[in-house]
Amino acid sequence: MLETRDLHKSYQAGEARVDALRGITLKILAGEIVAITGPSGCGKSTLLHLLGALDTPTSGQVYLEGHPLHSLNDDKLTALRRLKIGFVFQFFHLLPTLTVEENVLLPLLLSGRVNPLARARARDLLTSVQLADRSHHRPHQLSGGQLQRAAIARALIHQPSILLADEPTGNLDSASSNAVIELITRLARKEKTTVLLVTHSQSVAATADRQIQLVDGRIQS
Amino acid sequence: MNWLRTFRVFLAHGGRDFFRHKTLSLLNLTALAVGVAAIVAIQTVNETALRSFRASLDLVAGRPDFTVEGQGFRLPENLIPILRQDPAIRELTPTLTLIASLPSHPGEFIHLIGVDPFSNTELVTYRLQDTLLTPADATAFVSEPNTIAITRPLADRLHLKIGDSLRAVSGGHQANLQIRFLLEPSPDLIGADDHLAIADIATVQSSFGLLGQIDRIDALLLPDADGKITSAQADLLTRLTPHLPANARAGSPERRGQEVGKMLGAFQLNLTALSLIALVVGMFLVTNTVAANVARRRSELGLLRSLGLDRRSVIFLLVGESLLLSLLGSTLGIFLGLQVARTLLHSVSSTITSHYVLLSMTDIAVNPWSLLLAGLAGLLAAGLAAWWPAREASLVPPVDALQPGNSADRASSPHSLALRPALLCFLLTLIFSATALYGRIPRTGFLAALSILLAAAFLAPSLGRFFARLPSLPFPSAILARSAFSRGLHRHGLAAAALSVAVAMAIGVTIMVHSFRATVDQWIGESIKADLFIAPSTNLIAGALEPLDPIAESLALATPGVLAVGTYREVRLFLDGLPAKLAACKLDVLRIHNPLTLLSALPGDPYELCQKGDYALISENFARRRRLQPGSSISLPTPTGLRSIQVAAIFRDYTSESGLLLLDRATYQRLTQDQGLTSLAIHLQPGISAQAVGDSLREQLRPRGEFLIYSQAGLREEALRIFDRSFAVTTLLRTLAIAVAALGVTLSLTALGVERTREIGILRATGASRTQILRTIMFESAYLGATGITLGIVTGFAVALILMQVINRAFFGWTIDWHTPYPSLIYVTLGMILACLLASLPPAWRASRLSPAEALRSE
Repeated sequence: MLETRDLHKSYQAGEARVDALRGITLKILAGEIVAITGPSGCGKSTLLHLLGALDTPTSGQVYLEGHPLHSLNDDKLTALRRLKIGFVFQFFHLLPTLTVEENVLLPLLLSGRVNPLARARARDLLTSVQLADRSHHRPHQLSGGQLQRAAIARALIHQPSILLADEPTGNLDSASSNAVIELITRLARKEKTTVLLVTHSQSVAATADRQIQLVDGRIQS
Repeated sequence: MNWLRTFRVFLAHGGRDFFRHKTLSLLNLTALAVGVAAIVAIQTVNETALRSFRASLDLVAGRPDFTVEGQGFRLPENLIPILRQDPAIRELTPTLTLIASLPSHPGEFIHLIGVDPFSNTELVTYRLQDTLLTPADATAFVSEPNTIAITRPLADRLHLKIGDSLRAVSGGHQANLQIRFLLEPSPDLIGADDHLAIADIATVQSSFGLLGQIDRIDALLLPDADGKITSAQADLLTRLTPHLPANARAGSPERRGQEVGKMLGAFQLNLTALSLIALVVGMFLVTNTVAANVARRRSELGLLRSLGLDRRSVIFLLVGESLLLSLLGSTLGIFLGLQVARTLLHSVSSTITSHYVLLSMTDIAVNPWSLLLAGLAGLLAAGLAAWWPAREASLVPPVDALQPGNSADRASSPHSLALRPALLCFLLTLIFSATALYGRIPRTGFLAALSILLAAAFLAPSLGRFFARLPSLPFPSAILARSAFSRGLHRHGLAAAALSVAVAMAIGVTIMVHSFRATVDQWIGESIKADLFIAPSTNLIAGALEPLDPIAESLALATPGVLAVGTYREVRLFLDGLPAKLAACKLDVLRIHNPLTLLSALPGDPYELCQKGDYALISENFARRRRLQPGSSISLPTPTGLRSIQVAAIFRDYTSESGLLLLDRATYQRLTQDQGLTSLAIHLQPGISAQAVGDSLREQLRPRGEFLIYSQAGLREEALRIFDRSFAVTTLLRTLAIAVAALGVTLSLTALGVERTREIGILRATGASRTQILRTIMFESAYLGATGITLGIVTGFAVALILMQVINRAFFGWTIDWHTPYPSLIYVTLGMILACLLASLPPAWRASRLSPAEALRSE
């Protein structure tokens, strides 16, 4: 499903070179829920960006369902993101200019697939995340937990193969955190979606099928 | 010191922000620079015009204490002994001026001044140099007959040298002048006309048939008992008045300069007002940038506030940054403006010569004070524009400012009350229009135009909101752009306002110029009936000033195929303190062959009245500016005394900005003793070729000097060419304002691009392609353009109405019929749409190239 081989990513920060990832090799199977843990600055988010086709590695290979992400051009990476990947971010990242429902429909809007069927699915997802009554609200009218639930619905609307969640509970209180994690795992299992979860929290990581710990850009366990 | 601490923060923080957002900073800087450049260019050209005119005056007469000059007509030289006897006069010197064409150098002329080299030694501000480059004295100057001194630039241009002879023609008289000296103006006479030439006054009088005539007397006075010249001037004027002819004007020499200033006042004021528009547009952009700056740095400002920076210091910080930017922009604008002034010089010089007074400007005269004022205007504009968003920023509580999240999402929407100020501005438009038309305060006409532009600017966000509510095109990019535009109105509102102001100005000026041109063209078609026109060649380059060789009239009358010959004489003078043109025609010819369009008249035949008595026909603008009606009286100063002339009729005319008072030729000659002619209008018998008669006359007149012989179509073409040249500067200013507005579109989209980097990241992460991002921003630009352009077009019609019915009427008194230039309006609109799309390309391109991972990291 998702595989990396000797993945490296370096940044230039002024004069200094920062090696964020130093040879990551991993394999994630379809339908798995995997948590990536590690201290701040260990390269968790960088790895997620590479796996999510948001960035390209300095060296090494990434394969998503056989597609070599490391050698695809921007158009092909965009198409993969649009069809096969769903994102959930720490800061929710909903577009303030759109309503909750429009935000949920965004991936389908971008691929020109908004039709009555898609709208019905959006409504179903919003009901699943308990936001049916908020579908016409703007993001600034929602609480943090509600925003993240809307983001989860958006990440799943196009039935992606993989859901990448970057610290999805990092900005929420504990009650909301539990609800969000429960929602992600429930919906992912229902939709048979692979989930890769980046988190600091051990309790969140414990809900995953498997944990991968990163330290200084390398897999420790 | 608190302010010093704030200043340090400002330098460390604001200065670095400037360099961190180079594109935004440079766009802002350019917008301000263009605004300031427009002002600098116009002020410099205006300044150059006045200085050039004064320098030409000073060159021949230095800086006297007292001047007597003939207005419209020359003075008798027997005035000299009368003045010389006066105990207050220490020294005096006469001068006689004329324009002479140079047949050996087609298209060239000299502005010949006859001086008395013996009496002008104390006043003289030039030096004469001979072949040995030694200064010449008065004796050397008059020792050889027909001696002339010309300027070095003219000598170089015409390849003349000392010892050459120069044939000059004026008023049917020819003279072979000998170049014996070069004229070196004193270094402080910047801008003196290089056509100036000096000869002994007796040489000028005898060579050009002007014996016994002079133009002016310049005098130096003895101070009074208190050592003051001012009271001596007043006393002298009282003593002299009974001895002076009615057309003589006496007093301090500054008056002449002031009169020229007054003459050019309306022309220059119009240009100044137009140049300010570019700055007003620039102000909107500064407000927009500062607002964008505030939104982008909200959390930084929150941090500074939480660390102890007070509200006043926040305002100081943001306004200070804007001032620093405008300081750079103003400096750049000053240099740019001086370059623009150089390119405008010829066009403005020709326009002033055609309409007002002979002027030849060769290089710009830079007044440091004007530059400083323009720079300060830029600073003031930037400071004022920055103040409001700075104040808004200072009112945000630090806790709110420190909250993470999207700044664009939280931006205030200050447009809910925009309708009220728009309405207020509209009311002000009506009030200012009324005061300009009926309150005799013409300048308020410009305030009326400014008010309607501001009304439009206030309406921009509301119209934008309206557009955002309309259904969008069924494309993902269009749908996203619509919602983004709607939420981005806090930024786009100001850019749309700036755009609407520029478009309104462009549309207004386009309609006005087109209507004016169409009216004049129509009027020329109706009122110019003659088949051929003859004038001295100097009239083309020096305005209608010099008399035509009288032989031209008799030759024309004797030419086979000529049905009638109409005559025209024109002189410029001041009536009731306002500039005017006094003209004379053979009204019997005019009435039959070329009747005027009369707007109102006394009962009976106005032509007959004018032929029988002291009646005149006056132009519409002459009547409006002086509030005259048929039957009103005018005091006309003539060499034979002050004459009371009654208005017989008012006619439509577009030949003179200052207005025309037309007399029958016989009446004119009786009252003024002036037998001169300015031009001839020749009517041919049916079937006679104008080309053949023109060629025949040209051949007969060739030995007499240079003449202009126009066909009807040629004159029409020439009139419209002068018209178009007169509005060339207006067109340039219009383009500058549009350029600033287009920059505003780029600025607004770039600012929003910076503000929305994270949103773009979300879109990219969610599957938006680079093309989709590019299209979304271009669609957003289309919304912005549609708002600004639609509002601008509607307001443009209102501006045109104010320009034609308020400003034109208040300043010039012409009637301009409304002609909508549909093709031009379509071009302007398409041009603006294209400008908006082009302006959106750089920010759209930049946004589409953002790395999604980088964009998501930004906050």
